[in-house]
Amino acid sequence: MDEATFLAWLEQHQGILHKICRLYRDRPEDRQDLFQEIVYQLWRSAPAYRGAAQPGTWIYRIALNTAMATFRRRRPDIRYTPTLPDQAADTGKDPVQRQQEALYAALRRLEEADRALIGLQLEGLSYREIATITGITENHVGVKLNRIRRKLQQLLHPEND
Amino acid sequence: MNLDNLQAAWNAAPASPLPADALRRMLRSGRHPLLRRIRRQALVEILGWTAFLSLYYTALDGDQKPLWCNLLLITALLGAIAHHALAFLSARQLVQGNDLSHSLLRYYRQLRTYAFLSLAARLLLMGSLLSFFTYGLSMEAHRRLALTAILLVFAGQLGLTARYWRQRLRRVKTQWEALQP
Repeated sequence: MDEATFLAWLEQHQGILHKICRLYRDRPEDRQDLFQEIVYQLWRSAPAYRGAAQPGTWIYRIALNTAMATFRRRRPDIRYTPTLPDQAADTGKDPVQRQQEALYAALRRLEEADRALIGLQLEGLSYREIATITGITENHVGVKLNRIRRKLQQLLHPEND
Repeated sequence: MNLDNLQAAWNAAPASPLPADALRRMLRSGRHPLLRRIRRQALVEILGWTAFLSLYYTALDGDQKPLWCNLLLITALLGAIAHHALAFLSARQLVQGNDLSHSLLRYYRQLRTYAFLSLAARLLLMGSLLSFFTYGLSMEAHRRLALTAILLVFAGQLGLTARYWRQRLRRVKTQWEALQP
């Protein structure tokens, strides 16, 4: 695959990369680093891509692999906000944006392997496709996803416990 | 939120797409954050050790020490440099299998070997420096005290490095295990 084809392809699918970066990193600078790492690993792996899998499936596999294998330096989580702590920080956000933030916050509290599975399901992949990407059986995918969805609901609606 | 809501929220995630130029720059290993850090660290160490090697034989009485002492030191320095090269190669290829589970397992095994070599290279370097600088010295009380302090610092460094590798290996292994039935 030549560079121009790869870049055109990447431009088309880069939304997947942004979602994975958001799923695995909570700081913008960590997301940028991970995005760059994924792009680099995709480029390194491109010669081995034979087109047997859908491009999106292949991108998911490499991106998740990179996100799970790379090591993030632990840093103290110090955030300086422009607003006072007693002011509601999300008053200007629309409901969809608030829902998204709640979803990603809950997803990032899951185990990293669980995030990969639920991310693939949210992307609309079948159990078979998820099994191919992760290397586990379809049955196991189903069992795990049931458990992960229950956990996610608990995280999103703790009042229902 | 039910699954449909979750899916809607997932798919509506805003992302500011990067232009092709920005993506093209990311393909170069020179722009890669981790590889750049490894390269910079390796360069500093190579320059430092090269300066040391060019001076040690005359300025630090290398010619007065036995052959084994010199060979041990040179081997240890080359080992430290080779260890950086290995880190660079290993960071370049994270994806090593046809599926996530397989790839994580292979990566874990590679990382374990690298961790072992990294610790061995550091231990060899510390041992060779100590034997070089203490060879032929008469061990008086103040020297013994200084040597003990140096040994403690070296042991502390080694302990911290081992802890770092243990944590990193455990993290990758935990993720691999989480995918197993």
